[in-house]
Amino acid sequence: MQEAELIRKAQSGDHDALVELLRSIETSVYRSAYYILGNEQDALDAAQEVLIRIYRKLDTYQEKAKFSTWVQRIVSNVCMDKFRAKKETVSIEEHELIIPDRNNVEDEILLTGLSNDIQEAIGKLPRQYRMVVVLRYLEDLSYQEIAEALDLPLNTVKSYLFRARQQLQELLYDYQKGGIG
Amino acid sequence: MTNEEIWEWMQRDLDGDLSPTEQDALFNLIRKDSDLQLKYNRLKTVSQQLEQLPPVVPSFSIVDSILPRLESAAAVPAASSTLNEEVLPTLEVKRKQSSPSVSKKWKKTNVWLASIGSTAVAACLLIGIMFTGSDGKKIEADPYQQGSEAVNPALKEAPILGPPVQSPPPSTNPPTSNSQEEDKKATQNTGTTKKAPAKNTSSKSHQNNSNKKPVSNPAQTKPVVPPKPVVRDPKPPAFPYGVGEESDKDSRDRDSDSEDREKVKSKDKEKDKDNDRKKDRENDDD
Repeated sequence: MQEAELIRKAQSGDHDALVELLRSIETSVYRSAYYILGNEQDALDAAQEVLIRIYRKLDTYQEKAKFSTWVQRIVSNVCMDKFRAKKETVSIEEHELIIPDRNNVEDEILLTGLSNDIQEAIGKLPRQYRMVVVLRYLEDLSYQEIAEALDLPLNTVKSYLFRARQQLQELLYDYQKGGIG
Repeated sequence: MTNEEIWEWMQRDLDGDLSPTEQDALFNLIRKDSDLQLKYNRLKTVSQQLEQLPPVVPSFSIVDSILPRLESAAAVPAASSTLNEEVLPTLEVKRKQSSPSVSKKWKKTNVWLASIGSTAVAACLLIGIMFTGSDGKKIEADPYQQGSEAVNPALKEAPILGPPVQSPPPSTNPPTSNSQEEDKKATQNTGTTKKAPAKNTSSKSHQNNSNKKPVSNPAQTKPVVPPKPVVRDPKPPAFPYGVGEESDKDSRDRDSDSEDREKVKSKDKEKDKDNDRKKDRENDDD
């Protein structure tokens, strides 16, 4: 069944269609949350919250935007709420220190050294840069879709993405030279 | 073209945002400059690494974990309402807050009532003490100022409070022991009749039956002597006045007394009528 048809059925009250729709977006929601938040537990909580919101507010979705963009907008909002709820005493922008959780998913990532490096580097990015990078590379959204998802101007999205890549390149270069300091 | 513009074109090329002509122009510039070539290669590596990020998957189905919650919330909306009602007992907090205030108000009113009552009682006591104290002063002061002999107030007759009683006021209360004396006076006044002694004996026998009350014998007292107050049992009343427990004997005494009184009254009336008839006859004779 196509996504558009599923959405229509779910909006008309078909419970099975709604559940099927949620299953189809479950992995992408979790993946975005995982790379934005940086650990499995927060990602699971955020993904649950996102799916519950979609379940309750699906009737408010309009077909003007892509469904994936609408979903990722909810993901980014929930992740921002998580960031605010944490009220970190140390700003992520200033001190990007992530203590990796030794879970199964993360162990899989640690198998490859390069992915570990880029994972650490992503964790050191500012929140907005991180979101833009995740949406661009993991959800394969265009500039315009990222702008819609994050409710940002198009030029701002480009600027964030270019700077994020520049920072990642510098971080990875430093790491290759003698470790990320 | 400035370095900034070249850097932007590099970035856009990584995202596939350059047109073919723009892409050719960029590649021409990079080929000429080794630094630009190095920069471009580093950015491309980063982009490739980002594209190759492992697709993480949740360890369990998140949809399955939230479905029971979602279905219960959707199917039983009343459950949510009950939950809200359960939260309302935080309104219980309000109730709790309000209930102490109510109790405080009651306490305040109780305190006020108690203070008013105590002041009223104190005022009554003061007035009573002032009255009694002034009487005592008069008794002590008057003889001293007038130079008369000092008499021990204890030997004097008890001072009568209120107006002097010349004739006993009519009372609605049923007579108790005084009625016996009245009956005897009536019998003495009317003279000796055949029925009267029988009544007296009956009453006396009744008195003898109730020996508990040490009532003085009215036959020995003279009619001139003023009636003495009835001496009651020294035993303190076990019940409040008016609610006292009546024994069967007392009730029987009262019944017999009332019967005697009625009989005496009827006899008196008959005697009066006889006297009137005699007087009428005497007048007729005259």
